[in-house]
Amino acid sequence: MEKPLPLDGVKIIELTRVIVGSCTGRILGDCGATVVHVETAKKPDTLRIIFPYKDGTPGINRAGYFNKYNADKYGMALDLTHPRGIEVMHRLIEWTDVFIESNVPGVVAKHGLDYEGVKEIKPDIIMLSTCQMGQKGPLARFKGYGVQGAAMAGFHELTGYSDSGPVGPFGSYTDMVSPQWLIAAVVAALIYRRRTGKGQYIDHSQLETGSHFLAPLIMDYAANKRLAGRVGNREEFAAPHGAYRCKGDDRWCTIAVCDDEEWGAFCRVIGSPPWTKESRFSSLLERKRNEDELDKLVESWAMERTAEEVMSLMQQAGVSAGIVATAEDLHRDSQFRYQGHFKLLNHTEIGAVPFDNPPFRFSKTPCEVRMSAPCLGEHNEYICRHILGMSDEEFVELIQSGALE
Amino acid sequence: MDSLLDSIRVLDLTDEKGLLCGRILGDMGADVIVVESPSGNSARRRGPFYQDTPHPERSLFWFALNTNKRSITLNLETVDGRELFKKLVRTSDFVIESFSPHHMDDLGLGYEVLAKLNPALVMTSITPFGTQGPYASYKGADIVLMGLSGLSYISGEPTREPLRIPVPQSYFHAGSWAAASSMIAFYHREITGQGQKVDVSMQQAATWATYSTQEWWSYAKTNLTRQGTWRQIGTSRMQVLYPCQDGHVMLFILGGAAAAAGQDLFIEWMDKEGMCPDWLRGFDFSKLDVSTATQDFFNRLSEALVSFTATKTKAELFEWALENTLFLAPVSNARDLLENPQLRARNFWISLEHSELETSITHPGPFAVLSETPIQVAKRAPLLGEHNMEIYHGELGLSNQELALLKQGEVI
Repeated sequence: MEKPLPLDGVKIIELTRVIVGSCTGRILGDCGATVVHVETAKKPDTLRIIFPYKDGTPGINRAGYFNKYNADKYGMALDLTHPRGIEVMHRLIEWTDVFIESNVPGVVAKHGLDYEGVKEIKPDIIMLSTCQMGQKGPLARFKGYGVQGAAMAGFHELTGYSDSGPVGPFGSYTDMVSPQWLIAAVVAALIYRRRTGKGQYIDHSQLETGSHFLAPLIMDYAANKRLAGRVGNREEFAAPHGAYRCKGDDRWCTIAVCDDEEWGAFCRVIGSPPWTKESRFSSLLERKRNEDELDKLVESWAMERTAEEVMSLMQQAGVSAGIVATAEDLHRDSQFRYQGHFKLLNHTEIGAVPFDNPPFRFSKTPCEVRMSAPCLGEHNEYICRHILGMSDEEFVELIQSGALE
Repeated sequence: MDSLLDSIRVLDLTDEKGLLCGRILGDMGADVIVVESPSGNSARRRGPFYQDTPHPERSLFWFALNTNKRSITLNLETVDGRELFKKLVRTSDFVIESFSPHHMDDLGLGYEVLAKLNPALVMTSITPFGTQGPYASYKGADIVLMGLSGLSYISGEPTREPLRIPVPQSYFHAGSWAAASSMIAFYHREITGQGQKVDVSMQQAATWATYSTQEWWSYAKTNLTRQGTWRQIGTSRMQVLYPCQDGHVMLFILGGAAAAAGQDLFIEWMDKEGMCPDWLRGFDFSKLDVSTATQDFFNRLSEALVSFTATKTKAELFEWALENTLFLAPVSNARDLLENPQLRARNFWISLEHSELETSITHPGPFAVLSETPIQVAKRAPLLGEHNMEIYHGELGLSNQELALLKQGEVI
């Protein structure tokens, strides 16, 4: 018998694009929910048509970005502008516990699939809408991706070097901070429904969860009228605290020394050269005063060694340190290997590719990614026949209608 | 009013690495009790502080992560402390902790022990690298986890050091993933009656925030690199951050008919103000394929756009972009966020009274708008041990005399 998964029996329909909604469904799927991802070939998900593609060859089923967030789902390609397409969608709504959508506000309403609409079909449905700004309000019409959302949420203004303009985290960062909250909210709503029989509507703004991830500095302005500046990698209570260049091409190791004990350990690791005994580095206060000098000295030591060596020497001595990992490093990270963070799964078109496992482990109901992301429309038949219970005739007729893509 | 997690109790033993988990559960209506050592949670010593005065009851970092919680003090290093904790566990649904791996076992309060008292308990451990494996005993400062997760490598200027975000993101990723995974385990317990142990790795949590970095390697043997204020689009790089009068804006130029409409109007606007170079006048964006456009094209485009945006304010440009559908957003600072009309219209900012400080402080509010069970951010973060009486006396039934004794024994 297969091991039980914590969300066994939970049913989810997605009409999601890009990251947040799809990632929420992906994790719920990893944990045992049956997830049906509905999409259309007429307007493919942006993530299906951008790099990286397997072996660099573009193709709608070859995109890594889409696959990452859509494993453990059944895929259906359905034309919602076709009367038979919307009929199938209604049957899926009737079947499901949770409906997740991540379109620009107003889009699902055009298909009658807003909360009012789906509630009529399934009164106790739990529906989640996630978008940049939230469903209503003066900026709800804003069209943009999480990259713009991240800038608006404040991440770029704060992330950069003290002597330059904003640089920001790499991409659509507000997308990266949102699914976690939504998984918690959807599961809590499922529990609430079990207890009370009531479904509900969850209206989520990625700008808002983004703001939570910067809360202390926003509150600093609210309470103290201080606008935080860019500080590079500096941290008030630690020195050295930074990413230091190591031997090799663009190789770096971070080191964080947070108290006197760690400073002692740090000095021993680097062989206690005379400068470590100078009074200008003897206390945290002195190290903070002379941090530019300190950083240069630390880096000159680090540059003689590989990043891996620096990490291992420091950690063995009880000092927080770690290489600045490239994508390649992530795939060979020994902790990730031990945890099986990446799991190879066979994808129907591109063969075996690695998928990230969820960032948590359950002692009694272990969850792992199990099924590769679907090709466009890969499970049309499975969904119609096994999930919706269509007869052969009905399914053939549906194909002939042209509603399936 | 009803809440999602009505009558669910959480014992929150975390420090700054995990406090967000309890905040999320508390915002959904759970009764979250932070169990602090008598000297106070270490997050209380994290700045910024109200009026810049460092004090355990003035930390804005603490305030942000502990709304809706109650606080008790309890010294788990003492026998009495551990016994009281076990009493609390019997009536709780979750224990969330972020000590070093196995510290709870060493205290005699590991999952096996607690599960005997309460088999339905969900116990969640948040650690830098998970509780097992070659890094399990390693220290994980935020900057270290941001590096090891792959996030830093892609943030910053190509020739300079990789950057972190100056608020500990790995802690917040871990806390929010802990809330997600704890709820999933709790669902299973609702169905089966069986609690379990949940192990959250901060490194893994943060690595979920690295976009398609992993796939760039596994699909195309490419390491994404730092791109500064530009972004790799196809074969070339396009500037995306532009200076303006009072800060910066982020702007993406795209190809195709849908994007072209707004971009055409933008070029017209530049032209009207005499700031459009000849080559750009009448440029057909609908035919532009950004994935094959040359670096020279993007360089010339950037030059033209920079001189124009520099003459406008963030608000002027954003207002225009909303009207005309241009992929532009302001690079907000904290003031912009507090004044953001959308956040105001959704009542996102919540002012909570801190009567001890004789002031009210603005906090981020509900993380989503729920139709049946609205998220209420109603209570400011607790003072140290603020609810000792309420919980020890009122709920566990300890007498005043016993409480006085425990206080003298430095248990509470």
